[in-house]
Parts: sequence; C-alpha cells; structure tokens
Amino acid sequence: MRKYPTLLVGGVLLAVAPLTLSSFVLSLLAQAAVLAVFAASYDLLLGYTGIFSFGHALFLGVGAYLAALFLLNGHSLPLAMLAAVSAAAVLAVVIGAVTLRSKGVYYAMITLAFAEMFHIYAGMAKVTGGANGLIGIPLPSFIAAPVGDYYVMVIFAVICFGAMYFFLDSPTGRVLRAVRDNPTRAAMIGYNVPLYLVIAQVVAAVFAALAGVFLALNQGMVYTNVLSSNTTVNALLIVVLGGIGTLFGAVAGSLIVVVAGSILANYFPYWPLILGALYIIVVLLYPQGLMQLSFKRLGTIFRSNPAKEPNVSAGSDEGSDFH
Amino acid sequence: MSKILMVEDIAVDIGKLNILKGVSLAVENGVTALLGRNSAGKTVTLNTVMGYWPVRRGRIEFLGASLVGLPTHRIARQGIVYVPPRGVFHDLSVELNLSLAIGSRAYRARREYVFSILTELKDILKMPAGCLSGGQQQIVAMARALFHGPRLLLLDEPSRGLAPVIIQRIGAVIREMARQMPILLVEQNFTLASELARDFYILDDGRTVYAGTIAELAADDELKRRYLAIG
Amino acid sequence: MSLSMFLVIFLEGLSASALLFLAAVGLSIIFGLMDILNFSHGALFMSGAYVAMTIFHATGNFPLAVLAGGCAAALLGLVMERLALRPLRGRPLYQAMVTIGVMLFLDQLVIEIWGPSLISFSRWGPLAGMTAIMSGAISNYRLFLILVGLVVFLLMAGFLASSRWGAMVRAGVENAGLLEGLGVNTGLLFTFTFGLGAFLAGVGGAVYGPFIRLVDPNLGLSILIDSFIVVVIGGFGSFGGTVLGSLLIGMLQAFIGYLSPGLTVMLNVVLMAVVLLIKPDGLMSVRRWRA
Repeated sequence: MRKYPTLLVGGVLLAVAPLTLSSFVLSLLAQAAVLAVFAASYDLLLGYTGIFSFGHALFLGVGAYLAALFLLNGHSLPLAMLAAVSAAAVLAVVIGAVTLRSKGVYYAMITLAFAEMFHIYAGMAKVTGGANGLIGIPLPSFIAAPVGDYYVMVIFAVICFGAMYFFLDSPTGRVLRAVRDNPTRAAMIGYNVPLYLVIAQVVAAVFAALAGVFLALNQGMVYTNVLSSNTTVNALLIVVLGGIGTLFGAVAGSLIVVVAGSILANYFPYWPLILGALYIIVVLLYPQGLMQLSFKRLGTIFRSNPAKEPNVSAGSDEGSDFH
Repeated sequence: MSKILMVEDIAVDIGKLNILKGVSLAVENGVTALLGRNSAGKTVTLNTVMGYWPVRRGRIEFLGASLVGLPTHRIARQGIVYVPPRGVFHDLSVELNLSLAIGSRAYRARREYVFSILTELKDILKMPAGCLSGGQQQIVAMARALFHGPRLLLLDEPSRGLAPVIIQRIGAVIREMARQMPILLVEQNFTLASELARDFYILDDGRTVYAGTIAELAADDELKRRYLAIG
Repeated sequence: MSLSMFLVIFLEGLSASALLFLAAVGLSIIFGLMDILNFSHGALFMSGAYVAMTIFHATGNFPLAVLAGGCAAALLGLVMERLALRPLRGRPLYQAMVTIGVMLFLDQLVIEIWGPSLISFSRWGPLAGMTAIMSGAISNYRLFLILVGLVVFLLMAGFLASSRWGAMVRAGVENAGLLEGLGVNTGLLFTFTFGLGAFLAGVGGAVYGPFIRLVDPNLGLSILIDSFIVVVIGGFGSFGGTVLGSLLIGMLQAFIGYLSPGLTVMLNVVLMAVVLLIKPDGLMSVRRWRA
C-alpha cells in the first residue's frame, strides 16, 4: 500500500507539468511517453519472456500506417485502433507460427527480415505513400495543441502501463516468466510452451500497434522510418538503459533517449556515438540497467570477478539463452 | 600414499541455485566411484574439477597443486581427461576425434598400443562418429582418453543408456584402463561400479554424505536403500 | 530466353551468389563456432568498404585496398572480441545485444569520419570493361567477383577440411566445452575465428563497394539482412549451408529479378519462411552434442 502516495505524487506532477514546461519540452515528453509504451511492449518479449526480436518495429509501423490510412479515409479513431490491433495480432500469430519450431536465435533474424520486407514495401507501394509517407493526418482538435497532445499521450501511456502491469501480474504473465527461466521445466510441468510464446508475441504486438496509432496522432504523419530497424534498435536501447525486465524502466530509458538525447545532442555533437558506447558499457557492466545502478553496487562491480561460465557442461539441465 | 586428486568442501552455484553445497573426496590409484541418486551433483562435481563451473568455496588440488581458478584447457593440459557419456564430435571422423587435440605425430606413436586394447576401432576409423552406435561412441571417447595418456581420468556414466552386453565390454575396457591411470568414475549402475571400484563416495543433494570401500557398501543394504535407491 | 541470355543471367546470378557468400560466410562461422549472433557483421563489412575506398583513392592500388579493408575489419573484430564479447562468454543473448551496440557505434563512426552522404567507389582499370559471351556481355567486375568468391570458398573449404585448425573449428562448432576439456585453448581459437570472420566481412565490403560503384552508411544494414537470410536458409554454422543459401538466393535474385524486378526482397523472405516451416533449422544444420 506504500505505492499509492508515490503514484499520487507522480500523477500530480504529470498533471501540472504543462503549467511550467515549454511546449518544446512538452512535445518531447509526449513523444517519450509513446516510445516508452513501445519499448515496454518490447520488454514484454525480451525481459519477461526471453524472446529476442529484431523486428518489433513492424508492429509499431503497422499500427501507425493503419491509423493514418483509416483517419485519412474519414474513419473514426476507435475503428482505426481496432484495425491496428487486429492486424498486429494476426501478423504476430503468423510470425509466431513460422518461427515456432526454430531455435531462439533464428527469431531475431526472421523478425528482422519480415520487418524489412514491410519497410521496403512501404517505401514502394502507393497505398502507403511510398518514400514520402502519409502526411496531413486529420487529428481530433484536442490533440492539435501541444498541451492537449501531451495529456493524450501521457494518459495513453498510463493506461497501457497499467494494463501491461496487470497482464504481467496475471497467471499468464507468471507462466511467461517460468518459460523464460526454464522452458524445459515449464513444459514438463505441463504448460503448452509454444502457445504461451505466441500469446506473449501477440500481446506485445498489440501494445506496439497501439503505440503506433498514438505515434501517428502525435506526429500527424507516418513515414517509412517507423518500420526501419533503427526503430527496433531504439526500443532495445531504451529497454537496456532502463533495465531489462523492469517494465517501468522503459519510462526512464525513454526519457534518456528522447529528452536527454534531443537536449544533449545540441551540446555534444557526438551524442549518437556516446549513446552507442553507453549502451555497450551498460550491457557489459550492468545488464540490469541504469535504474538499479547505485553507488554501493558500483563498488562491487569493479571488485567482483565475472564468473566464468562453461559453454557446455555435460549432463547439465541448464539451458543457455538461445538453445 | 599421497592423494592424486583432493577435493575439499567445494560449493558451486549455477545460476541462483546452490548445486554443490559441500563435496569432498580424494582419488588414489585404481578406480574410485562417485555414487548417488540422479541430480545429486555427481556430474557437476566432475565438471567443476575440469573448471567448467567456478567454485564459490573450497579447495581442489591435483598432485599437490591447486586447480581452482584455472581455465579448463590448462587443467586438461596438466593431465586430466574428462570423458562425458558418449562424448564425441559427431561431425568428425573417428580418426579425427582421436587425433584432434594431440596432433598426428602423437597419434601415430600411440596407435598400435591403443588399437591392441580396442581392436574394434580399426573397422570404424573413417566413419563419422555421429553414425556410430552409443556403445561405439563410448569406446571412441575412452580411446581418446587412452591417446591422451592422462594422469587422471574422470569418467562420467560410461554405461548410460547402453545394453547389458555392451556394458560388459565397457567394464572390461575400464578395468584395462585402470591399470594405466587412476580413474574417478561416476556411475548409476551399481553392479558395474562395484565390480570396478575399490573406494567410493556417495553424494546426496550436493554433499558428500558417505565414504568407504565398496566391500563395506555392498554389505550395507540400509545405506544402498537410503542413497542409491537399491534393494 | 536465348542460350546466351541464359548464360549471362546465370553468370550474373553466380556473381550475386559470390557476393552473398562473401558477406555471409564470416557471420556463419562466427555463429557456428562461438554461438555469437553478430549484428555488427554488416557494420564490419561496411567499414571494410570505406577503408578500401579511402586506400584505393589514395593509392590507386586495388589489391592493396582490399587487403587493407579486410585488415581494418579484422582489427575492429579482434578489439571487439576481447573487450566486449569475451566478458559475456556463455551468455549468447547478451553477446548478441552487445554486438548491436557495436553496430550502432560503427555505423555512427563511419558517418563521423566519412560523412552521411554517398561516396563514389570507382572500379579498378583492369576490371572495368565488359566481356562478350556469345551474343551477350557481362561486366568484368562480375567475373572478378565470381573468382574472389571461388577463391575464398576453396580456401575456407580447404581450411575446414584438412588443417587441424579447421577440424578444431568444426569440433568447436559442435561442442566448445568438450574441446576445451581436451586441452585446447578455445579462447584463442575464438579470437582467431572472430578475427577471421571479421576479415572476410571486410574483404567482402572492399569488393562490394566498386560493384555498386559507391559506399554509403546504410550499406551495413542491407548486407546484414541479406546475410541473415542466407544463413537462416542454409542452416546456421554450416559452411555447406552458407554456400547453398548464397547460391539459392543469388540465382533467385538474378532470374526473378530478370522477370520481375522489385519482387526479390519479398521472395527472399517468403523463401526463408517456407524453408523454416519445412526444416526449422535450415537446410543443413549442425548436429550438437548437447542437443
């Protein structure tokens, strides 16, 4: 019950932020909120299920493009959301079915190939506006102003994070973690492991597609870049910096990448290079993410000897990450 | 007589689990058996001696020098060979399996001797090891150990999944090998172990719980029932 | 389709296969021996292309430029293996994640050094012309690519089949732990192999640049995707599978691209999906002791 005061303070801060912040910072915060949802949906796969996708941008892009197309054709926002969510779910099931029997390592490559196929298609096809993308999406009037945009995106993010939190806390969410920790054991207990893996992919795809819808609303346009692997890499950066397997770490990671990124980039011309190096260092030294990096722990990192693990040990039941 | 291998109160964690909590044993000449139920920690003990897993606590000494912290290949070069059950490279021919790590000169030098013990090898030299039967693979794995001529052999469940008549042959080979080198044998098949070994240790839940001579153990039905689920 | 046109398209397909093979072979070997899914492979390829372009423009000596491209990539690979990959040994997921960081870093580094726009990479004089084949013609550079692909294929095949290193690499692909237990320093073997894979990537980049007559900072990613598709179809870590996958995709690109350009990327992905549905580990998969 000690969580409630924190949540209350956080909520009040988010609500009063527009009173003090410039519209530039507000627009960055709105963008960070959407990206945080996208990154958190990626973390559902990477951190909570142990699935390494390299094509998660596909679902963000499908959501964004469908939302743009539906709104441009005069349909309502709820219908656009429904279309985005259903398309993403179907795609996730198809990709899940193709990769079901393949080794985990293949998943990253296959998802990358699928996403890249859509990326190239979106750059060529007429319906997606080709390389120019879809612009001039008719926005509801309350989103058009920076403050309205900020509130919509933040409320969207709060709802999504709440939903993901309850999903992970549900019996299904717990099974996913059991599958992540030891798929063999989970299967022996009697869980249908492939089914749960597909469920995780569908849920992650749905949230990514919703983030795509709101990204389209936030930007007012959709461009092929949303489907590129850079978008997936961004989610990975956010998740790693925020902490893998810490749902709310995505918020911190997203703030670092979006807000700090846009502001610091003005002072450090080499910011993308620094970000890449920072990412490598975090993966190497502190795979649990920056959030949990306290000074006390900093000491132990440099003192402790990283345990050498055997590549193979006969007769051990421990599975490595990929096999 | 001095101990060849001394393991003293080692603890090993794998992931977050304490797999070994206090294993101690000593190996002298002849065959020493390491017994216990499934997942008692027998294989992990052998793997830890080889340096596959780091120890959290305890000492491992080979001919008086510590092995703790050494990388696996350095431990192997001190003359310890570990033979996992049917541990062969499936993609390589039997001949390459045997000569891979020692080089072709050493291989040619010891060929006559090893083939005189394991006559069945001659017919399968050019075959990929993946095409062999389980028993043949086990023979190849043990032949490789003979080529290496170790000062200590760690033999992990040589009889696992093999038919009784093949187990007899494996047993005969182990007896021959034991004349050349001390052996630490992990074995589920108590009959085989009792025929080969003189001393034994019993592990249970990651701890050494009993040590003695095989003759004592064979006479102690209560002990066998409690830790080995026999009888 | 006339015979001469068929021959030309066949040779074009063979040269495309050779390029794909040069791009994918290092990725395949690095994964096969070390379990590392190297996302920075495309970036190493691109680094090789940029370094070769710089050396070629400075000296006009193309063989030297190719060697320099390979060595630059190998050096980057060795540094990366020691600093970023070795500490994470045995944790393939984290290793794959760290290689993404290296990819980001190298991609950005290329932009910082050479700028974000395309730079032309002209062909070396002796390789610039065309060769007549009956009534058709094919560029000399494509024939050169086939030659380079063939040479690397033979060297690697010989390396894997006859030398003890090759046998050890094959043994390491199957079971690194068992090999280590036989007294082989797999750490050294891994560093050498990673350096070799990176060298091959660099050489691939160096010969790829003049083929498309330019280098650009997006080169790495497109090569990475092509290589992924090749090795997924062929079977990861299998040398024969990489050859087979390159030939399949290269020929497909030449013949389908001739019939209907623009379809090839989609066809590659569909082909990959079909192969995986039938054979989940690719056409040729390496059997593993720990399976």
